[in-house]
Amino acid sequence: MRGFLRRRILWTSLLGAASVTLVSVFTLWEGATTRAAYLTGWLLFGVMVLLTGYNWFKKIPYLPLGRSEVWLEFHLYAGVFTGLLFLLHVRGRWPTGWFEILLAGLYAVVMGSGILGIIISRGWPKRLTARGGEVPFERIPLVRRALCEQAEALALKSVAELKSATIAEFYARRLQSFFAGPQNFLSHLVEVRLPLNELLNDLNDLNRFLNESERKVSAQLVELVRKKDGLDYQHALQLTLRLWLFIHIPITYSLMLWSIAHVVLVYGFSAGAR
Amino acid sequence: MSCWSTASPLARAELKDQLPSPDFDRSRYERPNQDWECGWTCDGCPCRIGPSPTGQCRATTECRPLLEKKEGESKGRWRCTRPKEHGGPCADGPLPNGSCSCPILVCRPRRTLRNLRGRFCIAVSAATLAALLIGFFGPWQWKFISAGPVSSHHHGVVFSQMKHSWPGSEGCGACHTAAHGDLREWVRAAFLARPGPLEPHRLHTVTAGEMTEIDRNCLVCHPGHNFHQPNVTRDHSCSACHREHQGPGRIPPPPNSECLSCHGNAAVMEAALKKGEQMPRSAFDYRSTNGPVLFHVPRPDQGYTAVFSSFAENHPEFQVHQQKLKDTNSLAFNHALHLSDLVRQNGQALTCANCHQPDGAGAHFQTVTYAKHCQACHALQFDARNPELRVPHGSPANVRAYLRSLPTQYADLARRRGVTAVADSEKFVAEQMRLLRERVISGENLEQQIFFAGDPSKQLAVGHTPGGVSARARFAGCAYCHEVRTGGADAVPQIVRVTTPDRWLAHGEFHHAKHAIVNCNQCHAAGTSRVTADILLPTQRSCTECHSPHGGFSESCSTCHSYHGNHDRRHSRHITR
Repeated sequence: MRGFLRRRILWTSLLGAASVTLVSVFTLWEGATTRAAYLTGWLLFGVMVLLTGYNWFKKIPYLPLGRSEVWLEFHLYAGVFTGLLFLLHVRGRWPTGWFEILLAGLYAVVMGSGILGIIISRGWPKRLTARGGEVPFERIPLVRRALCEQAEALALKSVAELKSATIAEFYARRLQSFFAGPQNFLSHLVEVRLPLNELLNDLNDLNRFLNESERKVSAQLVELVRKKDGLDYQHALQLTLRLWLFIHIPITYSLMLWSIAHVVLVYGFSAGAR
Repeated sequence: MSCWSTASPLARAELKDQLPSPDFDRSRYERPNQDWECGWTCDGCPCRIGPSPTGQCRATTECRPLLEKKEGESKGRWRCTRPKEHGGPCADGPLPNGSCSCPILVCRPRRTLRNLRGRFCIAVSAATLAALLIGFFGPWQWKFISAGPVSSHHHGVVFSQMKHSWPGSEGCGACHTAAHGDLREWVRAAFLARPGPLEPHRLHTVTAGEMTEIDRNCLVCHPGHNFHQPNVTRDHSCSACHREHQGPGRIPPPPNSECLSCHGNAAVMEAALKKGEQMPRSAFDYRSTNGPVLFHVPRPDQGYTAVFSSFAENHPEFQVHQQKLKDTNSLAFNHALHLSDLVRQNGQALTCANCHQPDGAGAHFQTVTYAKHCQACHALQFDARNPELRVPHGSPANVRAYLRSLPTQYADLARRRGVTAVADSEKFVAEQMRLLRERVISGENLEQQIFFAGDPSKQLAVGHTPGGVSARARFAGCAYCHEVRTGGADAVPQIVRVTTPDRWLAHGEFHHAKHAIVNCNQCHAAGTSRVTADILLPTQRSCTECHSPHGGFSESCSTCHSYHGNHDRRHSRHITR
């Protein structure tokens, strides 16, 4: 923990120093050259190339490019740094042309999804640990099937051994779809337990019609329902931790392509205008 | 029990709500970076073979039976080899022919999340490229790539057709040479730019005001580049000051930085000074003769080459104060007297607005004229008994002609008073002429008094009031207000022409209506000015009380100055004496 704090202080200091240096240098550029926007543009483009390269660095681990952890931290803080660069580049003014509006919009989406990614990748693992029932994402279907088989076996057992179809009917009517696949995705993301509580209430109501033996089976079903709900919680959060990259990475490539086109247009059409 | 979870995740852990991890085979290693996974994965029962790298299902049977032969056996026995983690040997065992009795249902392998993300990236990139190509080559290409709406002057069909046969109303090709080609031309133009896209290290060497290709296109419609002071040492980039694509309407005013790129640079100003010293003074008399009359400000020896950084800090003092210039108007006027309680109109003391009335735009004031602003008090009455008779204002020759026709003027007055009988009229004229002659002795004396008398205590006439005293100013003679000289043609006295400047700030613009919240005397010390020579302009320092960062109002150069100004090579109508 102390190491993490130390690294955070180090990176924050570097970010602060880089920001102060940039603002100072930009002020000098503004006075010395009429192409300050070009300079900030190239700097922004260069940092964006490095940020985009983070995805590729991970794919070539055999090259001595440093630890991925360091690159990730560089990615986070350099991403924040591009915010300042962007503001200086556009001089705090939202563009008015369609091409540049879309370019700025793409940057805003990448920046926004990146911030969302920081928030959830830093915060949600704590939620997952606190909730318990942790399981690798790829194993979730297997565990879910095992729970489903156990629940189904309990329902069948109640028919065969206890000579009562009450639990089996309840299972078929209420629990079969629950165990069949992931449920209540959005409720888990926003920490709402309403669906689980409704199901548990229904099970609780069912107990009035059960004898002692059936209640033992029902208690086992309650336990399985809780486990399945925990598994769905894991699935919802872990899937989201992967899905945000479906926005961040593709739009990053889109942004880079748009930026290259922007460079061509600026040099081809501006020809000296500022 | 509330259905909403209000406790934090850690709090839930304290509530012993934490679930135990489910049991699963931890020894098995998943490879999420593979492109395909078994189609039964989502059902929780993937086969152990898995799909091929190309996404083909490779499932056959659950095991490959093994033939075991004991000593002495000729046929042997097939044994099920299904691994323990998949249920161990099956109950039915292999078929007699040695094949597995448990075939695996063929699945349709599905892509992993990682593979889907990669394909999605490719799809989005392709869509982006397609969007760019459609934008670059589509019918709205100019609207698409435009950096924003251009000013109204550089937009529209008329502008497009003015110098170039450019389709549509965008008129991009008038300024951008690259617009005459397609994407290949744009790329070529980009790489021909100096510094080019591969020379970002040279960007810092680009200094302010260098002429560019766009600027040369400006000169197609705006020929000549001599629209500032003649001693400017280099042509300044048009597009540096006039930044287009900032929105419809007028082009925004140039930023201060562009003005200060020269006026804040000692080397540039020094060069301009040296160039100016080698030029004839007449070269600087370039302002247009049309338009308002400007107060003549002699060019300083140093020219306008003072180095400064902002209006509030070190902008030079206005020239009228710096050089202590005087108003050379020949009209005698006492502002202090007219604004005092001694002078009243309809019982009210005069105010500035009595004479200085704004023009239609409110920026400046209408010219003060005798007929509109002076006559009400300064009527040119010369006969106290007949105040209706007034000497005409204007030409001295007209005055003389009027005085030599006095009998006719009296006869006309008699008719206006209702005396219609010829005998009565002649009697009235003779009487008035006799009385006048008693006072001035001769016509020559009367003319001399009217032209040259300037003492108000010896007025020619008093107001037409019962007591013989008027609140109005009394007419002493032309010389009371004007400078009258002898020696004109036919011995008619000459009145020096009154020339009141319309604009006192020759190098700056001022909008009075925008300053209406300020009282006149806060800027103009008219209440204490007793002579015409006083120029009642405020000092530069007093302007900075508002026009400064502290004052909160704009201090940009373009607030007052126009770089291009009112240029004309003909001589101007500067007021000189």
